[in-house]
Amino acid sequence: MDGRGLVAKSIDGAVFAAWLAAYAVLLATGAYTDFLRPALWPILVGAGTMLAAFLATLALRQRPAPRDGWLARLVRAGLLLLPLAYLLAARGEILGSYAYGKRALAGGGLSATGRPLATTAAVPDDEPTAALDLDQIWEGGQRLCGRRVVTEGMVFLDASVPEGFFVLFRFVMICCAADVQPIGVYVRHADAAKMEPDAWACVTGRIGTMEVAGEEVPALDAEKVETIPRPGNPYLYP
Amino acid sequence: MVAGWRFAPVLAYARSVHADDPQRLALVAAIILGAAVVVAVVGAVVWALVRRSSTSRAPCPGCGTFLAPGTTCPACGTVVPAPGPPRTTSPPAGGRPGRGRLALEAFILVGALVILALARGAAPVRAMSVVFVSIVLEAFPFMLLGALVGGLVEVFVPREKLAAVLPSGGLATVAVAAALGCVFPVCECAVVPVVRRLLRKGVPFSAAVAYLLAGPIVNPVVAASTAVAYKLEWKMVIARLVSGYAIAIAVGLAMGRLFTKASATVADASDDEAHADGCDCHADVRASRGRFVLALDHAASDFVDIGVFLVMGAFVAAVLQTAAARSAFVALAASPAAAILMMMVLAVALNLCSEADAFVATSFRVLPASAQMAFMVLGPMLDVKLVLMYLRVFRKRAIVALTSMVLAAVFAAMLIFHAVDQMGR
Repeated sequence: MDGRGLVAKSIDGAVFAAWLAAYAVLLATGAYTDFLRPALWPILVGAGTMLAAFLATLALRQRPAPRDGWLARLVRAGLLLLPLAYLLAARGEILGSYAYGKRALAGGGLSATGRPLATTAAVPDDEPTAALDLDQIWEGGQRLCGRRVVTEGMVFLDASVPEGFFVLFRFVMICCAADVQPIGVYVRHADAAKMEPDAWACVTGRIGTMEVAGEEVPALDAEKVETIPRPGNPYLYP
Repeated sequence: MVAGWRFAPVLAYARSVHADDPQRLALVAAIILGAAVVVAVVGAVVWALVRRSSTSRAPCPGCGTFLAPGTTCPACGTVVPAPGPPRTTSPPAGGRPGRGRLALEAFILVGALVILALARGAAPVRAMSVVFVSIVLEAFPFMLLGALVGGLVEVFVPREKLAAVLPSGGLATVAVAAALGCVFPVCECAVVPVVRRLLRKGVPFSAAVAYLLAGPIVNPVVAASTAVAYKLEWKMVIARLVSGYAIAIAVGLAMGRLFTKASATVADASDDEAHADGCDCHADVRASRGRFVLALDHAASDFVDIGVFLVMGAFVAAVLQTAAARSAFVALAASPAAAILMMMVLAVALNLCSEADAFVATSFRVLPASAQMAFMVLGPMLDVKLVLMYLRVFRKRAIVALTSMVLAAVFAAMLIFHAVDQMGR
């Protein structure tokens, strides 16, 4: 094998090894769940296995030298490694209120100029507080009206959110962060304006409804709002 | 009330923007008119290109330039042969891969690194980083699998066997190819390297196109995910599979009429150019190290070659996903046709996996079923990432023709679906 072939092998080998190491670290630390659904770990194992096989095959390769030059190969290797550079920069990151504002079909928080939050329902005060995720609150609909619940999510605040409210939201992930769907509820809270966007909050309160642009949407009348650390699984899974 | 709750804000928003708003309606009308003009212009250009290439000229085997048969190519000095029977392999490449490709790759690489270096702390860049990494992390394993399958096809499947299953570019062959996803389910990232190897193996061009388009839709995994997302609403499942299948067959046949394999496909990956079928090293490697190792070797080359385009496409898709507000698309969907167009644009921009896109489509239930269907049918056939990956399979004029026909076919099919759906109500 000539020098050009050796360079090509070395560059390809570096790319395979880097991705193999990345998959191994992501799996070992569980950090892949910031980007992918936890149940998808087998595809990462499969990818790592194939990359290891490619590396082993590379050692046996006796190809004629490729026609493209070293610069082209370096640029392509750089592109293949580009996601790893972004992975290093994005480690520990999850989608937050910026992504919520872009993905929420109704915008971050529609101007809620209609009927104010109402929590009237025949639910006794001594009923135990239910721990529900935000998607369960949406799915539960009006039958949950008046129930005292405790739920967690991130804080969204912008000019479209009415005074005295913030939006508590989470993302529902199907496969990866590219396909997440936002779910959010309005929370009435005396100190809403002091909430930090993107902070995680645990809200205890009663479920009610409020009118937004002519439609009833679920909302929470907060009794207690606590700032909490990010949960182990920041996303919800259907 | 319970079922409607989830989408209540969406309905409210849609109603508020659909109210008689002359400016918005004018904007929608302008968009539809503009889209029609673009389709007409693209169609005219494609038709002119195809007529020019198929009547009096033939592709140079060396560089692909269309010249009169029998003349010597001024670019590479190769004599252009007279048109003969359809080729069964791609023409060998002449010279190094183009500078245009290198410039594009370098531009995206440098641009992405500059963005990372200068603005990594900004909220949009942080969100874009998560989306970019997610797309690649999810797509790479499937592309690796596709590359491996392609390598196995290259080494283990004899041409004669494939020729027996898919004998010609006729309707029966194309129909069989479009249904291959039922027995060999692949997503859109995996299907590209597989199709490239199938073309090398002599699969008819029209059949390969049909499999490329239908494979990621007409398969049991996508049918199941659509059924779950739409809570067993079988009308949507059947419509998605049938329309995807029909469009793939129609476009496959049309592409087969307009192009030959030689005029539509690019030379093989740079590493494979040096040892295309028939060279001595191929046989030597087979004899000495085993065919499985050879298949892995091909797969590794394909992964490097096509993976670059997947990364570039994922980066562009992540930028689009991060920048585009989805509520704006809903706001512009003031009529069924506009809604279909908006969802087609969204499908191209979001680059979602065909196993997951039905769940996203359901969140647009405020729009007509035809618009949701357009999103689910077009996305697996055509998005930013796929168009870039197609560059390693097809020549540019073939990609222009393919994308134009797919866009037109999906739009027309969804208008028909809308009419049928309205009649059934």
